[in-house]
Amino acid sequence: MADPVNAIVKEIPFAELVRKAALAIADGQTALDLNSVQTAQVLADMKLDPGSVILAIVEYTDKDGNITKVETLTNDKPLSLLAYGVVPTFYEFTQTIIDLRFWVRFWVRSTHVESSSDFNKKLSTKWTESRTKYGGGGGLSLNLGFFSVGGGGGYKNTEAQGSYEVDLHVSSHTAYDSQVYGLDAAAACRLTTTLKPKPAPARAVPQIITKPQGTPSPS
Amino acid sequence: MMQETYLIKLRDNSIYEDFAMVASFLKRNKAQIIMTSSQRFWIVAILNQRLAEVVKRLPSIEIVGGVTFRKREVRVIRIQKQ
Repeated sequence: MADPVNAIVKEIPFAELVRKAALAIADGQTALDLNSVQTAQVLADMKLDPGSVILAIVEYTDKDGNITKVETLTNDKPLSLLAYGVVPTFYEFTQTIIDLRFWVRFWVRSTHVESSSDFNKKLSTKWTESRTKYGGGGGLSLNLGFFSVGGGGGYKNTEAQGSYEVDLHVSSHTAYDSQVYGLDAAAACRLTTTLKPKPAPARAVPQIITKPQGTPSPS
Repeated sequence: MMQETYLIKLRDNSIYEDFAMVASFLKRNKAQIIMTSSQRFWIVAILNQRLAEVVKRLPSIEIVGGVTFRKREVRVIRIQKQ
């Protein structure tokens, strides 16, 4: 008989499992990237009000280099959050673990059942009956030559004997053999992925260079 | 659960009550709100991924995306008076 455990192991579609996991990860990566790009677009559209972001600090010094006045230079036009320095986070799957566990149990169970029973019964009855009758007579005995008168005696004995004998013997015997073949198979699969933030791809987020155009004239 | 900074943007047709509801929901769930704009309905907050998924499903939300603060330098311009 072929080993059923090996047959089950061969049936597990490892290649298909890996292929589907890879495709699922690729789909997930695409969705993550699209979400990051969408976030970048939203960040570019979200503007900070003019005068709300300090772009530079202007320090006025005298001839000796002492600071005499300090001013802040703020944005004169709406500034996007992207330009402000809030950039979308990009993610990548760095590691994927497919943890496949399966349990296969194969067994043959043999059963041998034998039962035997004996029943013996012996009944024996003996009986004896005896009955005796006695009788007799008496008298005078006279012998006259041609006739005689006399007496006599005797007894009657009757005996009966019997016996019953029953001999009962019952015997039964049962025996059978059976074999049960069983197979249990269970499997569990776990897919673990590690998602890590990564730097934005080149040119995905433009490099922002803040250049204050004009500086206030010293008063 | 890892904490991350997220940008939460409400839909354009949202009203102030929607914004207040989302902000209140974040505060109730111990998210750390960093920046908000009650006029343009966006919030930058630190929250965990599970809460981010919940926020994403709120009806008034347009997008929830992870963001990073880039190092931002404030230049110093020194002008010497002649």
